[in-house]
Amino acid sequence: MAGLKQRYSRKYIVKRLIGTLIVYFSAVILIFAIEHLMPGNIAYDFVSRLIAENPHISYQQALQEIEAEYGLNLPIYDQFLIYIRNVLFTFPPNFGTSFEYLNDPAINIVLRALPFTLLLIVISQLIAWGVSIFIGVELAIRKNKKTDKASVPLLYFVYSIPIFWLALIMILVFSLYLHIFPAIVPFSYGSSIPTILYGMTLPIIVVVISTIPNHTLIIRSATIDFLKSDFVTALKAEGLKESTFRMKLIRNALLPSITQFFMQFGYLIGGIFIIESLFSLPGMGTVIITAALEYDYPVIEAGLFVTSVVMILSNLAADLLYPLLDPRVSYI
Amino acid sequence: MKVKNFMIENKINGKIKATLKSLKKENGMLSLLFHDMYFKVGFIILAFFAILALISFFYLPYNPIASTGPLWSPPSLAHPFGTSASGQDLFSQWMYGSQPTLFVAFLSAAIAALFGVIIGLSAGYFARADEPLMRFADIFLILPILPLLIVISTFVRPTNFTASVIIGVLSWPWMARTVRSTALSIKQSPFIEVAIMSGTPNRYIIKDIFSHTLPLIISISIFSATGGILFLAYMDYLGVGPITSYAWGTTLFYAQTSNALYVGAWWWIVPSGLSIGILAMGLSLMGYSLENAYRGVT
Repeated sequence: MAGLKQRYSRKYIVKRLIGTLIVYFSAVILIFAIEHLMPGNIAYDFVSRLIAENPHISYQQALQEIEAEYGLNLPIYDQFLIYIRNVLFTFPPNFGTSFEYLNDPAINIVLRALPFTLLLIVISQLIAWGVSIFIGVELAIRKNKKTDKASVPLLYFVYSIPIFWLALIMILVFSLYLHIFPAIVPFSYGSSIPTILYGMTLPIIVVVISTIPNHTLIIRSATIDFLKSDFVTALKAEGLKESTFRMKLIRNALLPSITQFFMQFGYLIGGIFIIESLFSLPGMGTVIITAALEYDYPVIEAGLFVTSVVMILSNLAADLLYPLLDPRVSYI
Repeated sequence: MKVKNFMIENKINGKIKATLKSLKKENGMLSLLFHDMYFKVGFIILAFFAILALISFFYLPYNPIASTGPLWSPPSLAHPFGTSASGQDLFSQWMYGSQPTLFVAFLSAAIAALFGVIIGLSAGYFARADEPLMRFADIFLILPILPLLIVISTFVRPTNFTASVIIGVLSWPWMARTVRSTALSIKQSPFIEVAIMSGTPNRYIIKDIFSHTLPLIISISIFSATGGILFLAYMDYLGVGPITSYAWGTTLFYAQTSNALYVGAWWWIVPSGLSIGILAMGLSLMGYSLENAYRGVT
């Protein structure tokens, strides 16, 4: 760990951690604000749904009990303080029980779904990255030639088509015309690993295709910048082997794409949520979208909370990893 | 005599050259752009959809919402894009859908640009405001935009206008970051330093910095318009967007809810999604070549 001390100063780490905490607190407060400053009373919808299922309950009584249970009859600042206590000072954070799955804490529902989302992200991004490094470097070397000129619009096109539409077309082609993959493979938390991987193949293909352009364009422009620099001329003058030269290019192009990747994580996670919901994967996207459509407030809060935490952590990781990967960068 | 003639000739030549040079300087950016293949293609695509939207204000082949033909009819002469499950003409829907898509794209980009430029310029110019403003931007940058958008729009059923406001308010930090870093580097250039030292009022300097960043601002705005198109499509597709406005995403939402996919009604799905992709690609190409031109010029 002696190397670490040369890479970051203590001051930088402390500053970065405090910044992360501030962002974390703000995210928590913002989630509360979104839920509670919106028009409409959270309880009404829930009560009317309960009454639809059990007609013998009296409306007033149910409303009062639910408002007491979730603290909705208290003034808003009391609700806020209780929320802060439940989220920041209890572990695991307590968002109350789900409206939809009674007696199930909302946070558990979300945390159960998290591994599927992470699996989808990690597998698809590893593949997409691996592919786009090679495409990006090759395009940069062939800059302004025909292949490159034709590829850029194509990449922008694939980048701009909505991911759900790509998924619909893939289902149309692979499931309805070619019968290679079933459109939806039913699996859930207890399924065996082959079933899960089989069910995830088509979603992974879709996410890979739709994220390749982003990585490729970033790597391409980074490599073009590197090709202009003096050390590349020096390397060429040295008479390096073509393959060695390319390896050096790849290594250099990798770095900016890592930061860009973590910075655009928000966009990525949005697309992934839609894909999950479209393929009915039991991931966070499905959970949040169903909860939002069903007005399942505790689950929405928990879902937004976990998503924000994942994003905050990934951003922190990107910042702290960068000096370890790039020997030229240090935060001292 | 000969020498004099030569001198006059030289003078005239020099004048022509100078005027040519000044002309080039005046439209440097534009002429550069219109020589760029990508910009031309993007501009043509944008113009096509803009004209389509304009035409759809005055003329639509059928009422896009009413049932005007046989159900589930594949593309034919009477219905170039086929009909939906309830017999709506999909060609009219496609024409009509260009209106809300373009509206939300440009309004959301304009709102994002407004916030982003104000915050980015103040952060870049006033050193004291830099840290707090950028931390504020960080908070927005780290928020998961699409899940938030979905959640907010389930509570407030958005219209086209509110949808653009929400999208714009959630997506300004990109603009702010880029404007700030560019403003920081322009602030260090000699002509601004001279201006600061000679006591020019802040607002003139900021105006100067702004006009030097303008091409970059436009190019990022174009990219955020692309983002606006996609976000609107996502919202519409999930059924939480401005559902009465029949944007292209809404067509896809109805296609999905009527199981067009499993009936094999590809004509209901392909045109709208393809148009979203092509329009967004056209905008991206324009933004890309504008950014390249800017980086090349400065």
